[in-house]
Amino acid sequence: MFLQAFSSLTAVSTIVNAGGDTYNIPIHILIALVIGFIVAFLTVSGMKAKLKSVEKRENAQEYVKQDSLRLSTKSDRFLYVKKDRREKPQNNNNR
Amino acid sequence: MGDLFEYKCPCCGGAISFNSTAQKMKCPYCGTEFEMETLKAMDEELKAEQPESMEWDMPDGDTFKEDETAHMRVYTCQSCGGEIVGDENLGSSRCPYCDSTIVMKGMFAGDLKPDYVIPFKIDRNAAKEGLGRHLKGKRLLPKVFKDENHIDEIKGLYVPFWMFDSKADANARYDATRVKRWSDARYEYTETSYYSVSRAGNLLFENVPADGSSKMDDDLMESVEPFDFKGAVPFQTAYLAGYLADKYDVTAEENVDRVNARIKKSTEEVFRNTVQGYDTVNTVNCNVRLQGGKVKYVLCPVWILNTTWKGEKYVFAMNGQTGKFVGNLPLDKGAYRRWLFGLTGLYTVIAFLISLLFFVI
Repeated sequence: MFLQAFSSLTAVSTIVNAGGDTYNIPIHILIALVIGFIVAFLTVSGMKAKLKSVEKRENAQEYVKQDSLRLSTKSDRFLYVKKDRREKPQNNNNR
Repeated sequence: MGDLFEYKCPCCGGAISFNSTAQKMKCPYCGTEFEMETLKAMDEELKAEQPESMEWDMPDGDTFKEDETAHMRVYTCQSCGGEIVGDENLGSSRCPYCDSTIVMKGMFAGDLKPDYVIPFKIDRNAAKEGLGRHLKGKRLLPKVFKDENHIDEIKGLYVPFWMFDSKADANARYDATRVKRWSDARYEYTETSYYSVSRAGNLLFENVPADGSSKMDDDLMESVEPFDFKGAVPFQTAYLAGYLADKYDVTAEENVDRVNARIKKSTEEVFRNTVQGYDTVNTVNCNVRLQGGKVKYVLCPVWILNTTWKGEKYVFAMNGQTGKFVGNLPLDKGAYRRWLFGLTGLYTVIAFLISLLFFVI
């Protein structure tokens, strides 16, 4: 019922610009609503995350003594190479 | 009699043999060719790899002498049973962990003496202001929590920490690739070069802290980190005057797994960051061995603020040295919905107008 009403609405609620392109208003509102919800959800999730400041620390990065890293081995050894060739999709409009 | 070598293909894992036509080592399964020297060097690197070892020298430590503890008393919580150390004129009468009444149990005696103490730098008022700043700008925080929230008592607590120093030796191996892509009129080409990358070396970790109190939430204490050990002084009981102090009840040994995991992760990250210039890098292994691991017993300053709201307890902690303030806050579900629907409406209108504008133009 809703789909039927929506499809009949989309059929009549269109505008046409100077170039002859059609703009379907209900479909664009629906797309805008989905985009709007996703962006709003991300924004509100960011606000929610601000309430949480307690979390387990996974590493000890702050406790690495500055400039203490000494590398005794640094080897980057080439092993082998593999080549792959893939045919480009051909345009068949010239038939 | 010569040595019999058998190499495995780094590409597919099959046994490789020498191909007399190509004058190279060739995998009979996947057909990949290798220079003999490359395989030999890789094999030597694999043999040189050492297993992980993460051992620590645990502190024997000094114990308190009688004259040092003359003015110190042990208090016990009526509710959670926690034992707190304070001076004989302790102002606070509430447990820093559960906010219940604490009563004096007796003289403080014996026990392991802390090696160092980091004295409080931030005072009580600054801790109160810290809470105000912590609540500011949180749009989804219930307004009544902000307005009606009363912190009855702010407790300055010396929390026992174990601090771990060590040199971390590591050897790591990575599979890495560089990918080149190009095309002509008919084909798209991809050339993938495979590399075996090795790194070995060491780095130093200093004062990696681990919470020595079972009553203090580990995640809360890790969140108020870091403490700057440059501010530490050899322990004297005089520093405890006016503050509470907790005795450790989680030993350094019991904290080793957590500390090892953090050190291993950071070592892996540091070594991984030395592998640059590739499109993909996959860690094959990274073995970490600790050398000369030492542990110190340190008391660190933390301001603890407790509050109860709608029957739930909220604990806030402020680093008494740096002023870093942490503590989870409640969510106003009504405000969450209002913001979500309100912003959805606003962004929908903006997105629709933009699409219309593009169409008209």
